[in-house]
Amino acid sequence: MNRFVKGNPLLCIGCRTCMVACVVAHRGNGIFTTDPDSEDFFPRIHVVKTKTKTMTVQCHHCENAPCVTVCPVGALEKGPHSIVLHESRCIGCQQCTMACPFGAIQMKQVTESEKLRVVANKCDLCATTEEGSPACVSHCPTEALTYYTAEHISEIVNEKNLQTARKAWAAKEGQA
Amino acid sequence: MQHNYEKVVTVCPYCGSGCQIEFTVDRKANRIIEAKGAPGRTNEGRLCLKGFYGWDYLNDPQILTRRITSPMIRKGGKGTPLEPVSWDEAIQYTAERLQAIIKEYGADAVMGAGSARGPGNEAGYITQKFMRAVIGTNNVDHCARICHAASVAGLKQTIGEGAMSLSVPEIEDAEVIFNIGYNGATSHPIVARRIVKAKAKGAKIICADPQISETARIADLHLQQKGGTNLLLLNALAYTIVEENLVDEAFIRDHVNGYEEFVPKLKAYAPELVAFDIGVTAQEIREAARLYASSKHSVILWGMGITQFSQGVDCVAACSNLAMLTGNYGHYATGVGPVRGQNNVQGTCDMGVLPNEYPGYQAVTDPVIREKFENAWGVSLSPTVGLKLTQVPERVLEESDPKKQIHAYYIIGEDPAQSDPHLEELRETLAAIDLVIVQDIFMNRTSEYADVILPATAWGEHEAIYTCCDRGFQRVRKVIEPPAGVKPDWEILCLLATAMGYPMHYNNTQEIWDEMCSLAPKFAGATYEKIEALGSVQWPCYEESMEDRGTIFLHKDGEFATPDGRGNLVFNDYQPVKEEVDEEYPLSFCTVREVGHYSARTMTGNCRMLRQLEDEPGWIAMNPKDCEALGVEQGDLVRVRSRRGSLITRCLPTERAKLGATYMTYQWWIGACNELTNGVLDPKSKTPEYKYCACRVEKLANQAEAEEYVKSQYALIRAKMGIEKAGAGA
Repeated sequence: MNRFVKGNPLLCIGCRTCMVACVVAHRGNGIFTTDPDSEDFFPRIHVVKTKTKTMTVQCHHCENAPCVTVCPVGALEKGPHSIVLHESRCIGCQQCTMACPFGAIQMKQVTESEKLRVVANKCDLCATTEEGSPACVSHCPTEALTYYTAEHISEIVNEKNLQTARKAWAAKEGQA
Repeated sequence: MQHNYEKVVTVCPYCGSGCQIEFTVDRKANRIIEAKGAPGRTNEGRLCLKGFYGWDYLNDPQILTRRITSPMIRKGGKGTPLEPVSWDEAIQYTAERLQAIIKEYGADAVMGAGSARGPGNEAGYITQKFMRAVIGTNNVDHCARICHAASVAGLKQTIGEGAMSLSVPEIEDAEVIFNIGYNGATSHPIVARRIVKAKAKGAKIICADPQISETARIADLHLQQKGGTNLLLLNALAYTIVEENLVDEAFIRDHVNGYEEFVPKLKAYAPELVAFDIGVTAQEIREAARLYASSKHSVILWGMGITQFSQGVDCVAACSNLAMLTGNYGHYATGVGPVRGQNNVQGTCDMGVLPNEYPGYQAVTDPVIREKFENAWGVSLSPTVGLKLTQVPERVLEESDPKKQIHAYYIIGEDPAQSDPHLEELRETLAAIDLVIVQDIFMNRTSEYADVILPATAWGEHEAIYTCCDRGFQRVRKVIEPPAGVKPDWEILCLLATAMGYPMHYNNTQEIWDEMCSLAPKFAGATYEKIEALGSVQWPCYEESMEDRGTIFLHKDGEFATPDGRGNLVFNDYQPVKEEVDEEYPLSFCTVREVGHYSARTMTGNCRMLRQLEDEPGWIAMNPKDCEALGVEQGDLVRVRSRRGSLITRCLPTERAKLGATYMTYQWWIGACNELTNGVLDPKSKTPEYKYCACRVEKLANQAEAEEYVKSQYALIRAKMGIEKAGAGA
């Protein structure tokens, strides 16, 4: 089963620490030693605000991911635990951007041998970073973000099953 | 290259949360590699974006402004360029000019502004000692005047102590949290963390705020009041608590004065009478009062939305009234929290960088106290309360007697030409002062008016103690070596004092701290060793022995810090804001905070990652209907105008802003809010009414031209700040 990061709007304060953590994790600490104008800023997680809601949007690593289906060059693939984007194969056609129901894939510019290329950009669960697990989760000041793995989800399901059972007994004994 | 990595634990230089950070430092390169949350008392290992990424300015990336590394003076007088000089020459020049001004006009012609930011408590102590013992005046103040001075004054009247009565961790265990004029999500994310945790544990959240802030969003009850109606609302809450008999009679009987006189004065504030003017329903007010009074673990948190009004002091007293009426003082997880904004604004008050008090809140007008300081410092001291920061413009521009004017202004680590209200007037003031001394780490907007510039070490380059918002002293450590040519603030002041004939010398900050502790009983027990051992010591801490671990919450068992030990209910009638909207200026204008930026932005504006999130010329948040009426869309550049000035910024339509209300964050240099704000002051605290004035928004027909203007203005600012390379930020 795929893993994914999900935010809790009840705990999110909209501070966008996750967005910066995402950029720094993927670029590495070298980002603080270069010319400030030479660095791009393309977070793979976005804080979105409506009138009464604040939450993050990022790739859900869907089991039946539409982005994988629509990608004409196989740049998006189902890996063992996530949807993997192969940046080198991406032709920048933006089909994945259209297909994703969450808006979790955006485009970014990369410089390769002094040429600009536009490629897809999305959460990779920090698989390629030094930390190796999602930086947005470890950096969130209010612990509003959670990294869900198969084990984690089965724990949640088990707990919910137990609660269902407990409530059933309570009803029978008249202890609403 | 051989790396030599070390870990250093210190305290964050942003906001009053007092988070502890563990830095990994490359000793050989003298650079910070990364920041991690350390298990501090208030932050428990968590940090916000400023804590994680806000140290980058130490690398001097020259995005907004550049680091000053040599003293400078205008040798040819005003209007001539600043020229780098040696420390000896700068100190000699400054000392002589100060002495000449004192000789001609007297010591009260000199004003000093201390820093509530990087320098720390030891530098704060030396700042006020320099002004009092060397210059000979009590004209010393700092930015608390423009933020929480109203909290200090309002709480002093009612309960005798002007600081947060509870601690940050206690917020998490409160049962009801009433936020008024406070949005921790942008000002103190790590305090906001406690609020969301409290909610997760079942606490009820009340939020009074004209906008749908992040706090309002998670509130169980949001009182979306009209701007400037705080006292109407607070008095209506008090009315309801009394009328519905929700008062704690025993607490009032045993610990509170003035109840009999207080009650009849509330008569005009029945929710049904005032709800319309507040902009909420009477039912909502009554529900809020019932909810607040339903627990003995109710907490009131406020920020600038209470204090930055012309009736700030009265509103603070009114908050305190609610806590007294319901017995919400004196035990765990209760009380009031005026949450201090800057990292060391509590400390700078503690150190007596105030015109009326020596360190430890001891009055300059008390002859016994004065004698104690005269004996310790070996000089006679002025018995007259000094000038407040916000009174400087009137003492320069409106005072006709030269003997009563301010002729020298010594500004340490602050940027009044960005942070004070009504900037045009402030700039006129600075231009008219004979001697402006700026002691800072970066060139800033005030340095344009400086006659002398003295470069100081930054946070991260020196040792100190800060006091966080809940009275917690914490050790701040040197993380990297400072650049050549700069000196710690306290050392610069000692050099000047010595040059002026009052030898001052300390070998380190601990010697300064020990001297301060010997004169301020409230802090006497908080030794360096104890702070080191415990990580944080909250004052009052009277005894040096390790038995006295400081004070988690104030006023234990209802024993207030007033002369008779009882709290005082203080009633004031509501007065409207001083500048209402009208046909010409139909929108209200309020200044708020940007979470990724801090104060006048010299620090965060020079951090790569923080400026990536938000940069010039900022945004004006407006209701979409107001935007539609003007024909402006998201991202359009607009001109915002008030009676005092104008600025250019971008339009941000949001349903979180009430119809007719606008909001801007105050740290932009092109979109500088304080061009617009009203300099009218609270008569009691002299705090300006930053939170309300009238404005209008104008559509700019030629967007391309406006974009070009913003770009050229940014380039101009950067050039003025001494940045030579083109590009960054433009």
